[in-house]
Amino acid sequence: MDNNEILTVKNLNVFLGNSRILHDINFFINSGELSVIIGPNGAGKTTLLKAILGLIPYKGEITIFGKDLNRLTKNERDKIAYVPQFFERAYSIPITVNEFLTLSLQNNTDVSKRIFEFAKIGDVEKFLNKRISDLSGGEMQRVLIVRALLSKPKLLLFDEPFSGVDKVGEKAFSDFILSLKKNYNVTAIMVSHDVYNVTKIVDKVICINKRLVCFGAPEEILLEEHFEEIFGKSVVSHKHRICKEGGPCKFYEDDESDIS
Amino acid sequence: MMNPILVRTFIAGISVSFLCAVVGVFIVARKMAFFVHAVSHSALTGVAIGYLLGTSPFLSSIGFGIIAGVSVSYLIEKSKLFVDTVIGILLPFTMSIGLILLSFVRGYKPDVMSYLFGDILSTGKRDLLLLIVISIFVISLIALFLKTFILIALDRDFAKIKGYKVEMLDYLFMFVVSLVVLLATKVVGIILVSALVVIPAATAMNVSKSLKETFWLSILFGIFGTALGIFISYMFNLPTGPAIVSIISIIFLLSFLFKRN
Repeated sequence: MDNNEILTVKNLNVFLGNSRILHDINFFINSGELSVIIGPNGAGKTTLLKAILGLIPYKGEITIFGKDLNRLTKNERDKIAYVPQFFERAYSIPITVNEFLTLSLQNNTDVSKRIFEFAKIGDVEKFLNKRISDLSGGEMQRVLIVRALLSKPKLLLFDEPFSGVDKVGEKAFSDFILSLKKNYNVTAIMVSHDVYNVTKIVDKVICINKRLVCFGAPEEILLEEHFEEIFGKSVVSHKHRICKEGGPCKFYEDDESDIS
Repeated sequence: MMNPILVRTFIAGISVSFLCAVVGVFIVARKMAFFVHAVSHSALTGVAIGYLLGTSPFLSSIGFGIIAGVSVSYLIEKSKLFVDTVIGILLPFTMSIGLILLSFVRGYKPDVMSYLFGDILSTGKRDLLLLIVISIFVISLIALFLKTFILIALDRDFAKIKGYKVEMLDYLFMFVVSLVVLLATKVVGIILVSALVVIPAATAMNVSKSLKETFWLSILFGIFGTALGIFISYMFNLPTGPAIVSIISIIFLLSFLFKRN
């Protein structure tokens, strides 16, 4: 294993009852890289993420920080963070943002200081005393990102961060994630079904459709054949793309035709 | 000088309502009100076993109730059945076994009604001592695991990712809840016990601005309702359990006037 590898997945298989959801997935992520797992709906993206997080049983090897996932200590696990796509808020429980964030930092002494520091970064300091049930969807997502950052994670996983976000939000999130990489050397893995938004900012792409279809730097592996294999011709064509013959594709939307 | 029976009744009622109010916040947050019913109804089997073996029915009901509570947790995890299905099976089963076993008790027949609707006035010195010892034990456990239990109630996946042994902690939580519920059956009885657990917490959630406030208000409503219920039942010669439940239910209805949106 390369010393720089922060996550290694080898021969990963996930079963749900008798059906195999993921087939022999292999890839690795280096420290400080931004990566995206892409694939159509039902490809097993979230399942892959849950396996990496140790939330579901799997067969194969998942190594994080050079250790088997199941052998990580509590302190090592604290350096893994996750921002879910949805958070089921129990609306009847009156818990403030501050209390919610404090709970995630059980073993730290500088709780208030750290919450204030990251609340500022995530722009949530003005609603620290608001109940989480009173937050909008966008505000809640920011709170979840702040909660993930509080433990100063080395590995950060996002499930569909662009889902339900408008164009301004997409740009803000892209800038935010790039600033995390620059300032905190965070290694981040995002799950997305939207190729357009993420491939512009990431170092690595993992494309899956139950099995690994492609893996590598976007400029090397975003080939038309891969997209057609995972998304199908009709689905890919909803975004304009320019593909060099035998080379990588670039994607743009109507108002960005100068991207090529 | 106050009547010693009344003093014991107040001490028992206030101790139990304090524990119920704290545990109740978790029960409401985790949507486990039905679990309380399952554990409390299993107490009847424990009572019957106590009579048949000639030991303390109170102690045997606690022992059997804990086994039933942890079994529910195990079955939910292993059978992958819905929680209400597991409880829907176990609740009538343990209740039936309890009634059958009671029919075998020879000599003095226990008053089933006192177990169904509570008989706090019969709290003897030994019962009270046992109740206080168990209460201190439960309070210590809750204090030790309070934040962890809240975290699991709010976001199980987050707790698992952070390395908490969530399944093991679930068993510990079920053990604590079972213990509290069984203590509370002494005060309000098997049928009404869920009210003492659920209502003060639900009332607090109606009016609280934060989680901290929810815990304190739940304790306040629980203790106040129980003390007032005991007092009214003593003054007007009413059944104590139903009097307590009626008072805390009225407080709950009043809380809607101050409900936060």
